Parts: sequence; C-alpha cells; structure tokens
Amino acid sequence: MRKNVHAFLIAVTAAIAGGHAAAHHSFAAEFDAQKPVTLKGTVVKWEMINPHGWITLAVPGPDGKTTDWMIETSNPNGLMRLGWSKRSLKFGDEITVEAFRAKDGSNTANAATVTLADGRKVFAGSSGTPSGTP
Amino acid sequence: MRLVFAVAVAAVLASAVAAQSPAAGRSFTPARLWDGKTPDFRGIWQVKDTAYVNIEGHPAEQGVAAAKSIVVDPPDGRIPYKPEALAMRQENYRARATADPSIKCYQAGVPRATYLATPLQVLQSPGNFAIVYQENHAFRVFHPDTRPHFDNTDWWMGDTRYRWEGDTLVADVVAQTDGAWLDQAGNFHSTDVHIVERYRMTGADALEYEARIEDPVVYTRPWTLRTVLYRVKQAGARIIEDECLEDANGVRHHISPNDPRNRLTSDYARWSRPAGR
Amino acid sequence: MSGRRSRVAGACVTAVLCALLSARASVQLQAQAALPRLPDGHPDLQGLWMKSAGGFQGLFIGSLDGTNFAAGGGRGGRAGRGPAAPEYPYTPEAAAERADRLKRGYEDPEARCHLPGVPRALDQPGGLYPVQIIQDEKSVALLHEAMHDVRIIPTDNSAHPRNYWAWDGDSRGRWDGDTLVVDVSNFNGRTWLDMQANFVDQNEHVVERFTLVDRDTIQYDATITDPTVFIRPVEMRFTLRRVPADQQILEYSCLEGERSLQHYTDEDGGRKRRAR
Repeated sequence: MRKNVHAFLIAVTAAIAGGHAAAHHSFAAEFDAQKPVTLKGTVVKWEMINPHGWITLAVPGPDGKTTDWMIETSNPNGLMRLGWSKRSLKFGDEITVEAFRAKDGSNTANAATVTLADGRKVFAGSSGTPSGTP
Repeated sequence: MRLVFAVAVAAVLASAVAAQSPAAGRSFTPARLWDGKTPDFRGIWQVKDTAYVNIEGHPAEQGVAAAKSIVVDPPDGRIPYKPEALAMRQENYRARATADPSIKCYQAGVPRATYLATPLQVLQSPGNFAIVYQENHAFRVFHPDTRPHFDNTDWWMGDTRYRWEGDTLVADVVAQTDGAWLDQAGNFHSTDVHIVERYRMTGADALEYEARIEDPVVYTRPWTLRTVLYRVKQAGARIIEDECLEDANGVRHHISPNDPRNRLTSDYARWSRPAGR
Repeated sequence: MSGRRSRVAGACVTAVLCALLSARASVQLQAQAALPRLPDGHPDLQGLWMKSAGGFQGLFIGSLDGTNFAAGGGRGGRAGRGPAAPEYPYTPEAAAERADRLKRGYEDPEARCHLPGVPRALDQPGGLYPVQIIQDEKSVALLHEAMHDVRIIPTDNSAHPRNYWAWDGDSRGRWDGDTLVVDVSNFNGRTWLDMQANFVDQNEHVVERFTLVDRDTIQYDATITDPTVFIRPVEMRFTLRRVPADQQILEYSCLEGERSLQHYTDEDGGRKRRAR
C-alpha cells in the first residue's frame, strides 16, 4: 500500500554482524569507516535495485565543476514494504548525504544518513558501520 | 458485381482473422485441481524449438537447429520496431556475444524465460499460481488481478496479475527493467513494456503460450508471439539447480550440479598443529 | 473403612487426572483439527511467511521526525527478543578455518549473490525477506525472496540423486504425523551459515522439521551435521510467522543490481588498489 513519503518510518537494513568486530560483509571490503564525507548535491537518479539502492548525486565542487557521486543505500526491499518507490527521490531533489568513502578512491560512498532539503532525515545507518565507530 | 466483391472481401478478411486467432482446431479440456474447478497446468514444461536464439527465426548455426519466427502478428513475423529502435537492435545483435545479459547469469525476463532451452515448472494449488524457471532459479508468483500492480521499482521478471478466462490463464505483466532481452539476438524492450500472456493447454502434454507485447517507446504497434511448451515426462525429471560460478577473472559461468567441479572439497589439514607443538 | 476411602480418593484423583489429561488432549485435538489441511490430510503450510523479527542483526530505523526507532533489535531502541543463536561446536581445525574466514568476511558467497544454502535461506534476518510456500500432494515448494532461491521438496518417497552437488543440496520430504520432515544432502560445500563466517563443507547434512503450530505460525527446527566441521550436530530453531495477506513477495535480483564487488580493493580480495 502506498504511503505518503511524509508520513512513515523508513527502515534501513544495517546488517551489523551482531556485536562482532566484523562488519557487514561487503562494507569493509568496499568502504572505509575512517573516511567519512558529507556530500551536498542534487539527485540525478534513484535506483531501487538489489542488493543495494543507489543514488546518483551531482555534487558541485569548489571550482564550479559538478561531480557525479554514487551513493549506496541499504537493500530496497525493506524500504518498499514501507511504501518507498523509485519515485520517492526525484530528479533535482536537493539532499545532503553523510557517508563513508570507497576505499578505492572512486566517487562512491555508503550512506549513513540522507537529509532532505526540508531537514527531514530519510535514511539512517546503511550497510554496517563497524562496531566502535562513533 | 459489387455484392460479389464485398462477399469476397469479407471472406478474405474472415480467413485472415481466423489465421490470427489461437490455434484453430480441437479445444482441450484440462484436468482440474482438487477444488474441482481450477484448470491444472502443473508439471515440468519445455519448448522444443530454438526460438531462444532469435524469435524472428534463424538458420541452423553452430549445431543449433534452425527455427521459424514465432512472431505471429504482424504476419510477416518481424517485430515492428521504430526505426531508431531497430538500429539499437542491430547494435545489440552485433554485440550479442558479450552484451547478452544472460551471459552474465542474469534472469531472462518475460517472455524470454518461457521459451529458453531449459525447462520451467508450473506450481499450483487453489488460489496459488507460480512458475519456477530452471535458468538462474528465477520465479514468478502470479497474483490475482483483483490487486493493482506493484510498480514501485522495475524488476527482471516483472510483476504479474492474472485471471482465468475459461480454461485459459491470462496474465498481465508490467514493471520490467529494460535490461532483459527477448532472445540471444538482441531483441529488446523499454521499461514501459506491457505484456499480456495467454496460457492454454491444447492437449494433455501441450501448453500453448502467447504473449502480446506493447511498448510505445520501442515498437510502432503491439505485436504477438506464440509457441508451444511440451510436458517433460521422463521419470524422475526435476528442475535442477542452476547457479553460476565465478572463474579466476570473476566472470560467471553456468555449472551443472552434476559437474564435479561444482563441489568444493575443503582441506582443514593445514590448520592442524604439527605433533609436539 | 479407611482403605475404602483411600481407594475412593485414589479413584477421584485418577478421575481428575483423567479429566485433565483428556481435556488437554481434547484441546490438542481441537488445535490439530483447527489447522488448515490439504485433501491428503496433511497440514497446509501454504502462504507467505517471515522469520519473526528479533535477534535481527541490527535493524536501524530513522524516522522522518528525527527520532530513532529501532525495531527488532539493533542500536538505539528496544531490543527484540529473538531466537537464541545456535552453538557451533567446531573441530579444532574447522575452528581455525572459521577464525580465518572471519577476517575474510568479503568472501561470504551470499555477499557475492550466491544461493544461501540450507538453512540460511530461511535463517535470514528477521522481518526482512519472506518465503512463499506452495504445496500439493506431491511437493512442498519454497520460493524465497532472498536471492530468488527456490527449493521444490518432493514428498513422493523418492531418493536423493547421485553425482549431484548443489548450493541448496537436494531435499526430500516426508510427513511424520503433522510435521514435514525434510532430509537435505548433496551439498557442494560452498555455503556459509551466516554473515559471521560460520560455515559448512561438502559433508553437510540437514534434517529439517516444519510444524504448523497454528494458522499463523510454523515452528522450524534444523539439525545440521557435518562430521568434518562439527564434533556434534548443530541445532537451530526459530519460528516463521504469516505475513499479512496484503503483502507480496518482492524480487531480489542480487546479481543484476550488484555494483559493490567492482570496488573491492585487492587487500580485501578485490581487484582495485586502495586509494592513498
């Protein structure tokens, strides 16, 4: 059943490996918990695909050039059960993302929080911040 | 004279319409499920033709038998692409050895999954209808069409709503990603594709399959393909697991569960402490 | 006189006990009679089921009004009470193997979109991926949302095949009263049991028991034996709860949407170099 974006809780699977030091399988191999980054930009694309959703974010740099970042979100099936859809984040939406950078230096990051232009937090805690990270 | 002409025209039109209607001839009444009314399509089914290579037909090649087009409308057997889409199809065709999504072990999509070289199984009980495709263990749950489609995202096997029209199952499919092809030849569709399938048993061991495909982004008009699946009757026949393994370069290949290479034999001896430690 | 009285008292106690026992049996019979059944008399396990939430490996929910609400366990909210984690009694060599795999969590085949195996396909984090069960007189089919895994379990007294090694093994079911007992063998030794590097090898053998407790609850028990990995069988148990009828199974097309593996750095089993 469709629910208004404004009206419901958003579930994000943060598959933290139950208290052990090992993070969710792919997080530690791909992202660096010691490299947080805050990205402010506009949504180019929002893909609700498995195993992770992906937001393509156009981020203006200090030099005026825009860089496309790929922001990984958690598995979308849980979100969809709460009414989220491919239409929930629209082209041109201005959002701020707090994320962890990819280890390989590409413009890829794993979202910890996503905040909409009106200040509402719509995601929190994506795939597995290792225990011990503040 | 005009009356004769009109009658002649009517006769030609009538026969043309008859030629396009579902396979004429005997109608078959299938057995029922235990509710006494739902047609029973359960079983393992597989096509015998090789339309999976190219649904518009293809000559024999590399040990694969030739096939005629399974496109029954338009009558010339050609998919009615828009000019720019046809160019895209040609491009797909040229690149098919590497660009076919099936090579990467992706699910085949609808309708391609129906006419693959590997079997499918229809699972049914009163109120439930699902198809499991052996290839890449894809499956589709068919939901009654009293519920609106789910289209919050695009899927590889689409979202299916169905109803019975007499003994024919009519299924409506939307929400398909544009990543899936229709065959190995690069025939394709967009995310706007809308498919209406018709499943009808024409004999105890024959299941006729028709798909009417509509996509205003890619085609100039809706078109229809039709083929027949045959019951797989060998004793003990089952859908077997079909999973791919990565090679040293990370490229996936199908590997049969009968293949000993599927089996990983672990060796824990390396962890044993030498005697005396 | 006292002997007769004690006999009467004894008879009364017996009568009360009998009444209690038969009342309890009657309740049980009623519960059993109340279970939906197929024409062959077996309980109807069909429907959409989800492993109950709780014991979840950390579901973190962020609400739109800024409060953090965690359901089913995880940080920041009320912890769900989930099924107890099984005990994994490894052989010394297998324990060393597991410790090593824990450092190589990125090699978890499920993270690489492979089939989860048995019982992992059912043992998914609670409240996340349901399973659809379709049943007739010859088979019970499990259609899992996770990895679009499928297990069609024949209940026709057929035997396991030879020369067949699969991620999900080969399942053969039979009814033991109202419990579906499934024997699973022919594994290919490639699966892990969970994200914490608990694992099995090609000698895995599982006996599962599915019991419909009431219309909305299936009790699931699994005994995992693997003589080259565990010194004793591993016992696993949890419940599946019926998902409301307005829900449907969704598609989980892991391979098709997977975009993480390409970024794995070579120190983590990938091909990319770590950026400085």
